Amino acid sequence: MSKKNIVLKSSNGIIFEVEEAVALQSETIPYMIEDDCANDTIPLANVTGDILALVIEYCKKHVVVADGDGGGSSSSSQEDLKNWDAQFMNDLDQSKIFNLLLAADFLNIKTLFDLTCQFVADTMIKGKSVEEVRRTLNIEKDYTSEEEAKARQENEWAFK
Amino acid sequence: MFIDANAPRISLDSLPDEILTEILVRVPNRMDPILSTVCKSFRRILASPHLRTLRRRLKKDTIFLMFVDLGQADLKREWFRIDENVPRSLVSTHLSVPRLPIRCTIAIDAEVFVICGSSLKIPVTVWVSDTRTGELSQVPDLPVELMFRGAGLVCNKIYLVGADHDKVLRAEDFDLTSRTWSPATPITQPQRDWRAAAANASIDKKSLLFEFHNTRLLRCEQWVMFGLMWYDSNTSQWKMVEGLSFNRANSVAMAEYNSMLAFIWTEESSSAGLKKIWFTLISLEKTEYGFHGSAQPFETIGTVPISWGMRLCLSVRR
Repeated sequence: MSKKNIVLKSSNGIIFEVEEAVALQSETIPYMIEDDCANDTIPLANVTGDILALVIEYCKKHVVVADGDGGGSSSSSQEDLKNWDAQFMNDLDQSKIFNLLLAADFLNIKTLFDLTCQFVADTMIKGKSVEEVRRTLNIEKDYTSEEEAKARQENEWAFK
Repeated sequence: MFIDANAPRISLDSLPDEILTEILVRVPNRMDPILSTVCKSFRRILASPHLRTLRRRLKKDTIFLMFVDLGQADLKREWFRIDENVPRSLVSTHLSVPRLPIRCTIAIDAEVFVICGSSLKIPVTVWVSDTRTGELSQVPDLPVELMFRGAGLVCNKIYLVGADHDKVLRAEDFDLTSRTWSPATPITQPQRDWRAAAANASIDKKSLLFEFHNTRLLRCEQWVMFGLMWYDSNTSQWKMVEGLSFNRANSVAMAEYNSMLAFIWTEESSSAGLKKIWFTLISLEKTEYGFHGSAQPFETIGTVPISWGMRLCLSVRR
């Protein structure tokens, strides 16, 4: 059986041609194939080229090769995949990570969405103080001093 | 025409609430009080019932149980994890812990902190067993010699309470990020002897204790279950969780599990030489008066030899 390719077009007009199995890790793309005429280019209005390149890199690595021997992935390759995921995320800056998160959400790629959310939770939030979280995520304090004092008081036991 | 191939720079603020919620769901709930004071949107999301629902659906926790064979002189330790496939079952596994008397264990994400040391001869030492790698390592020594009284996790610190050589109660905290000890706020009045707890777990900032009540006064020699209780830190009182009823259980373990309370107990089975292990999940809802619990149907998850005692119950997140 010949492998079918799918053509994806980013919001800024960059074309990517990928194998069907790679693209179908997205649960959104099948609907777009149905809606459009098949074989046409699928336009992704919400994803820029640099982010789509990352998404495709991830999907290529995670494509499950259905070669019919039913063996599934061994535990060592599972381990390799985990290490690959960690390295993949570590190489990205914060803005890319948030863009990737939006793309994974839009394209509905559950494992990538989970990976990205968990990475943000683990590296930018977990184990940090209030000030560190604000600084890391560039969050402006929108509490007034009184409100902040009240919020702290409610959670006082945690600040001792 | 030149088209900028790069995505616009965005920050966390520009993410929609649903995505922000999905991120916060994946932060351990011990961080909730800290995150509630970061900004208003964090506070709003953390207070929403939707967050709890999502946390329950995340299902990243695994329960480990350790039994000790009391029939053998070397008190052999046997480890199991609870397999979540329907029906739930016990699966034999292994967890590296020191061959020392274990006083207390605290599971934090994928790591299990094991606090060892008997009161007098063996000083308190703290070990970390990593459930991902199977490695066991020791954390830096406590800066003071203490006789163990109790330990617990608050936010990002493990608090260890003990008595020094003059029998004065002292507390040290261990910061999970810096991995260092420092003296904690001195304790003025011990609430109770923490070792008396038959089982304990902590959910939603309150400690829960499965309380036994000795009814010897009623000329009954058996330990009768009192019920599931929670400690109200505002009034310094123990209160009952409403809505639950259990049969008598004589060995109980609890752990926070996918934002619910896993409740495990043993029952001597009618077939000779075996003990049944029972399991239920309790969801706790805040009410005007306290907590209301609702338990899922009880199920047996396996049997062990009657000489085995259930000693540890750990909920590990992987």
